[in-house]
Amino acid sequence: MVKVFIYPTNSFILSDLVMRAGHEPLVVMNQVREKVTTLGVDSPPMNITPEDPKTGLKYAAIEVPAGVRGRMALNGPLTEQAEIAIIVEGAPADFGCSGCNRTNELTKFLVRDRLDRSKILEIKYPESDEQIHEFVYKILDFLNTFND
Amino acid sequence: MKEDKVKIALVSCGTEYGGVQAEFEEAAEKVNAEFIYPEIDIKRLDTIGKDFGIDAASGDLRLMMARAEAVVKGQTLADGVFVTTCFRCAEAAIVRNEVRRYIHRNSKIPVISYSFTEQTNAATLFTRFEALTTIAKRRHLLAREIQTGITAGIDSGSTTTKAVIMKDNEIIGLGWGPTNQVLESAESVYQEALDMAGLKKEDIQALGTTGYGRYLIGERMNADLVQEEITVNSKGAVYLAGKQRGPATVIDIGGMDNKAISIEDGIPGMFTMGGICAGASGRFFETVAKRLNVDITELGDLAVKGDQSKVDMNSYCIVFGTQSLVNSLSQGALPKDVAAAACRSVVEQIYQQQLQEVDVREPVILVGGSSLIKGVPKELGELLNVEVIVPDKSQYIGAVGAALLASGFIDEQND
Amino acid sequence: MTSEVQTNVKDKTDTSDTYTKIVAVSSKTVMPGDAAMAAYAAGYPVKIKETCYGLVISGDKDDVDNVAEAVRNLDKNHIFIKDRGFPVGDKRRCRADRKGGQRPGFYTLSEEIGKFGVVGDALDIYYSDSPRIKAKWPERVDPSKIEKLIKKFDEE
Repeated sequence: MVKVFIYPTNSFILSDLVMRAGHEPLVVMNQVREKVTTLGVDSPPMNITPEDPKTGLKYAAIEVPAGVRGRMALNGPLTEQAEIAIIVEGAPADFGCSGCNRTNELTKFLVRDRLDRSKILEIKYPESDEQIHEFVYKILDFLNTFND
Repeated sequence: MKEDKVKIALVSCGTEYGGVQAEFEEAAEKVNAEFIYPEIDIKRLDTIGKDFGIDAASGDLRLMMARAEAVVKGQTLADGVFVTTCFRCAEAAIVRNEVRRYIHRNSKIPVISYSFTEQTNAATLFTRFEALTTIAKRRHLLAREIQTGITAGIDSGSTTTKAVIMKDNEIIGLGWGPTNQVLESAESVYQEALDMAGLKKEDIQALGTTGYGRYLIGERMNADLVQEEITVNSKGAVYLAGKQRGPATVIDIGGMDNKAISIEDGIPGMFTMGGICAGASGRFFETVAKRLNVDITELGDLAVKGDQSKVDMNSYCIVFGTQSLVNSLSQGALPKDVAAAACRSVVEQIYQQQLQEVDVREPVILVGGSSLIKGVPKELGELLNVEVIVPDKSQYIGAVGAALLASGFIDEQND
Repeated sequence: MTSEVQTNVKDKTDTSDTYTKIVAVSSKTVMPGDAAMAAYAAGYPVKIKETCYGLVISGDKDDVDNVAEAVRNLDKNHIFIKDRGFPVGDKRRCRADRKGGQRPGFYTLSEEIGKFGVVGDALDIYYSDSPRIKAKWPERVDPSKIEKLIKKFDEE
């Protein structure tokens, strides 16, 4: 079992396929859950505090907007745990909750910077039913090469 | 009976992740407002970029455009719109400005635009939200164009305190002084205005307060109207300039911050309030006058005789501004040119910071203490290539606006 | 619509790690109602909320995983599972409390759920001996081709 970074980080389909193949998706939902249920941190509607953009300074300098650094406080640790990665290119704005493109650029950079190219599947977002088929096959084939 | 909450559509990117959502909500709660999040169809995110015209790569920015559209089309009913994105994000700044313009042009809903950092707190937002809710819910109050009865207005600013007594649409008393202790300064200028009018406190039928010290003074003096300076100053400016109908842009250079307000029929539609540094405010002129060894009242006459292009002055920060002041003088620059350059520097900053957040529509009315420094309207007019109006008694707009709006409460008392 | 909703008032001393999963049903044979029945029948102490696309399950990690797996086994290739950051009925994500507007993640969820039908078909083929479906992907046109076309057009 390997830890798989997926992009878009919130994608239902990618997360499901990784789990189906017996691996662990590194997903931002888990980060958010940690925030919501951690004792004492309690500011609606999400438990992000002004401290998070400061945590994000680890990944981006102070001139980078607060929203990017706040997001990096969640995304950054995911990139550090990644053993392999699946990056979908050209996904529409509504696929996988990628709210801020600057964050996306930085997150993907950190993954590409850390991992060997053979550990990353870069794949185009499918536009037709046939392409969805190939999308699913390619992802599962890639994931299966990392089975013990 | 408790008033219904004012519904402010929050059209934003990054407030949650930037860690400031709670501050925004706290500020809204304080002015009895609540945020609403216009509902949109998900498929709209795919197409809104092309339709709106900005193909933003960020999903949340597309969401902003789609939400603005939902508000404009009336699919979501909002009393006001707050458009906000992260400070220093170029993509967001483009979208924020265009969304703000789009709402302003296509609806009558008041809109403010703001860029935040993780340091932004509820206190910073409070005056802006108060203005937004006033415009949204108290239009009837702001619609007043004629002062009636005997009323007074006190404007407790960061640097100076002003008081005005009005009777039957005429100004009959004026008081002005530096703000030291908020209450004492207010008492003193109020008394000065009363003396000039030949009246006593008991003669005043309604009192309005505005400016930084409005709450304290309002409470102690039992004011009828306690109102933020954005709506009050707008009202005072168009009243004194005789431009109560149609469009106008009010630029208010205060002692500590500047305001730019785009107005229609005396009611603000779009406004910004800012001033990261005192370099672009009245405070800077005080420093310049002191260094040139002239009285602040003489600085303007000196400036209009000078040529700003002869001195390179940067007042982006008051420290840098003072440095360029000292440097230029040591290199033999003439005081009149330095004075002119100081005026230019301040209006350039207003142009770069405030005027990017509102649409400038003529007439441009310049108010606040700094408007009396003649070089300021001159440089502003040249920079914007418009005729700048400085109404008579332009430093009293806040107090006049408060006295004018307060007369609305006489009718209520009589009812 | 909601079978059971947990309150949002979280005990400050409660340090339990509530775990939540979304189960989306896109099956010809299993209806969301069947999925709910299977989830209840699994018999674990979890909170279950029925939704238009399937279920949201909250509780201890192992229990939630087991319930989700039990539901998935009804039609393995056509029932999908994802982690969710917020517990069932969380006020911060609930539309009613947010004064309208879909919760942020809804936009994504809705888009992706629309694709589950075809993803399920692809999984059926992937895990069988059936021949894989091939797709055409647009390729970038060589600029020299365009140049040739323009020349040809000019000549004509």
